[in-house]
Amino acid sequence: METFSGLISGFSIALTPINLLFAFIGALVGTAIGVLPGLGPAATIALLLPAIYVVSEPVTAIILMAGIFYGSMYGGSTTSILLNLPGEAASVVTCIDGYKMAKKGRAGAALGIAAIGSFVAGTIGIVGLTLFAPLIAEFALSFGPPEKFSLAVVGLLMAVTLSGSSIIKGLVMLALGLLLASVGLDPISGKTRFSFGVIELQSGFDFVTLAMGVFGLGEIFIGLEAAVKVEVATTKVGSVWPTLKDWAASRMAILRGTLIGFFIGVIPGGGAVISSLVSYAVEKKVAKHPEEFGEGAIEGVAGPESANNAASSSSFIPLLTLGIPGNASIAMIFAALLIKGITPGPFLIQEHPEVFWGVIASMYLGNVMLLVLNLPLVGLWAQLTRVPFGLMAPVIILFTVIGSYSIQGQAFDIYSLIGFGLFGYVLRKLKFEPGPLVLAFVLGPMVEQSMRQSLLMSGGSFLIFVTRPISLSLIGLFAVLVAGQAALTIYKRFSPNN
Amino acid sequence: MDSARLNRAEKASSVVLVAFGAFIAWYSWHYLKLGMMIMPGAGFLPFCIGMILAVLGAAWYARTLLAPAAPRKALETGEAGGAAAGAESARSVILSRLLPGVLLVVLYAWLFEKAGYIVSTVLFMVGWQKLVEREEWVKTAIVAVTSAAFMYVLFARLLRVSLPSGSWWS
Amino acid sequence: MKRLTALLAVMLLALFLVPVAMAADVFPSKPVTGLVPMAPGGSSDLMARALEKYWGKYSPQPMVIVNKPGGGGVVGTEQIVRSKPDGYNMYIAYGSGHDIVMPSLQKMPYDPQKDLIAVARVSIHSVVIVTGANSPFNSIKDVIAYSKKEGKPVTTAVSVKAGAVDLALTAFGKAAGVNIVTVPFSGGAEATTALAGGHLMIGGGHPSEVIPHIKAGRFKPLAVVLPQRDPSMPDVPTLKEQGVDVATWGSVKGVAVPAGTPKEVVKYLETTILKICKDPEFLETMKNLNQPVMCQGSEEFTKFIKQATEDYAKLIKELNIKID
Repeated sequence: METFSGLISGFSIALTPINLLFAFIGALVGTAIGVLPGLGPAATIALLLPAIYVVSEPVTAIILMAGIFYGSMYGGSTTSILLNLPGEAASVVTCIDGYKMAKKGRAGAALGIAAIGSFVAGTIGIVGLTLFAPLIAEFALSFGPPEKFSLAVVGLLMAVTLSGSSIIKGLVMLALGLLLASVGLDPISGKTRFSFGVIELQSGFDFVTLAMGVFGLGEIFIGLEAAVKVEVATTKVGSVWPTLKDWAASRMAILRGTLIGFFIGVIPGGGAVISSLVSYAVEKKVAKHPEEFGEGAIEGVAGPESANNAASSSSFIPLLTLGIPGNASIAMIFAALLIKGITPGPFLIQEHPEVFWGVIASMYLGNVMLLVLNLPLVGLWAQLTRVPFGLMAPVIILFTVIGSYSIQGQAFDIYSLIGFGLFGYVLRKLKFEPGPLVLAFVLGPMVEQSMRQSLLMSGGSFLIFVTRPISLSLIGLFAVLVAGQAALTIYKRFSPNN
Repeated sequence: MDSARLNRAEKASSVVLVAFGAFIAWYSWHYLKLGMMIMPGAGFLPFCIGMILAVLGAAWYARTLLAPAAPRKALETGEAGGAAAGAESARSVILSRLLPGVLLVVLYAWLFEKAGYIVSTVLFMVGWQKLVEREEWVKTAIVAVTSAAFMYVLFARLLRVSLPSGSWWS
Repeated sequence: MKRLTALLAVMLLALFLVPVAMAADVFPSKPVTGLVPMAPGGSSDLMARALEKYWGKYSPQPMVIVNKPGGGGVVGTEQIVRSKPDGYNMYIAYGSGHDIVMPSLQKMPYDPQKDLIAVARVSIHSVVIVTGANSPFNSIKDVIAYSKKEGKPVTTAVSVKAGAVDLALTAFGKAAGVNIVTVPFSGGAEATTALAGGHLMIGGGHPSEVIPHIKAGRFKPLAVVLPQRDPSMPDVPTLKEQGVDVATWGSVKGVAVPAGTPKEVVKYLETTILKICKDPEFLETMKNLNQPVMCQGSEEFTKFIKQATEDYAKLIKELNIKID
């Protein structure tokens, strides 16, 4: 009942003209930038983060960011289907069958089912968020420093082990992210670390600059090198309304994708990428004609696209209740909240009900807006994918340079932006995934502080992490997952069928 | 990058990573101090990270030794010429597009506060269109002026960011 | 041709003059930044946001609050110290622990008195010792008795390392013979959340941070560390009343700007803040935040900071408190 009245008050906030306008701007701009080739959700949010310094009301700012987040997810699927260019890992799977469908002249159907699936999954995901977040918030109080430490570390490790790419490289990313976070004054002893006499480094690296450099600028540098011209499957989209046959094929895929996405999104380290991968695998398993997968099966678009949107909604749960962001995109929303003076955590619902319920209500509205924006306007977005790189690249550079300068008004930040851009370039060349780096950078201070707090509490004994039930079960859960995955790998390797 | 080149780059990077990790660990231990178990000092976590990085670097190196045996052989026999040509063209792309691009951004950063937003941005856009994209002058001028003006309206007017007016001119 | 050259020259001149003309505006010609070197949600942050709310009433340009927590407040304050002394960079929370307590305990990267100009004092926050609602402690005597009987350390949540709360609790431990282990967080909000979750035995905080939890039944107040009772919580006895001879000034909360800021700009900021201090709506907001308004102008505040720093230095020496 409390949830219901909270939601009503949330809608009264989200429906004010200014908030409605910003939700719309967020959805629109998010889609527009997300559609640009090479820019996925994380890069899009990073590029637009400086905007929140200008919006004074915290609720409005977060509504804007959430809109951008959702919009960029939609935009990303458009690029994958039409250009075979995934903006980030979450859309890789969509490329497989989506691009094939587009080549066969069924771009409209693919885009349509992606939008509808995303809408259904997103909305169900928000319903879940509405119902579960207040319950989890009550439980969240039992998370003290040891539990926070275990959760953050397990979340970081999961982000690496579940991703399916090289574990060594993922761990390197985590370690480097934690190291970057430790630059500047140590929060506990007040000692300066790794500043090597550079005054600007004493306050550490700025998150927005890091994110824009690694994601935005790094992507541009890679694009500069790629002499290969992008092959547009088609810009003639055709009808976006799925046929009855399409609908019959994808209905259950959407539902399965939603469920998978919702549960994976709640797990720290989970999120859109993993849920889309799992959904694709599941769809392939249950399909009547698995041989169609990879040749343009509509289920292969509907399932993963639903899964990644459900995951985006549910990944707000650990953020808003525990104050722990589970993946790189959500980490940016976390940073936005902190910048706006709101510390997400167990008391968020009580202390800032307007933010909590306002943002949730605006998510419902944002999903409707996106459906409306995407179904009829999909042709327009398709045109955007043809913006030439020669124009897009320098304009994005202007964005990142001015954006990073605007935060503190110092030229030093532009240099660190370029440094991070080159770093992002090298990472991509060496086949590193920058997501875990950014996540570790955000969680770094929490990991370090909660570890030192725990040791103070226990008198210097690391046993505190295994003697407290919640902390122990988190570590146990992780161990079970890793063991399960290892067993699965071994089984696959030795099973006679493969 | 073809797999043999990637492999070589990975090998080199893993060695760099080991050295870097060792340096971080040494620096943390020597300058930041590890502290005691009950109250770990400023260097405790960085020390651990340094050690972990060194170990991961070593593991990465070992990994590169295991993986690429096949493409190496291929390179030695038939495909050597093709691969070399590929590497050649990759290098020329780096020289003709990436290098000027990166240098332009650095120059832009250097000029940003000194020459002010308007001058530096127009120069950057002109440089980009001419040096990276090799566009003709008319298009270059149009693109440079409109994008600089667009960003000015967006940031300085709509978002009310204070952009530098240039220390050289005042 | 000549005319064309002249036209070009004028245009070029105009292009260069525009920025100059823009720079010559009167203060403030753009929003002023109020930097809070603590995490959002703590007592300093709440006060800064109350100031921000009414700033626009007395100044043509708005105030933008930026939080820069870390290093017990040193990170953000240092950013202010080395920022442009043009009045657009204000430091809110001047007089906090890291300004008046920490210099007596460790080397500072800057001089909190010489590198900053005190603009105005806004409030003084006392230190309250509290415990979780389910804790067996009901008074300071219980804490002392527990420590004597069990001989175990008493884990204590404090907002930041070497801040006013940390010092008050450490001083209490020394004076009462209790083994207090202070666990620093990055701001009062985080510290009280951890205490509310029952992860530490006792904790300290400012009234604005702990009163909401007391009202919600999550905390029990044990003592106020002031020479006399705090007007915002008159039912809570002082440490002295409970037989422990420790009292501090708590944490002072004012506004400062970097040294070198022009005099007329400082004067403008001082006048604006003192106007806000008299605004009845601001007083009401501060009352709801449980923060007493105790404003002072630039000159008096500078003297007050000097005195408070000396008092703390004396206390630290008497109690022989060392950090690290």
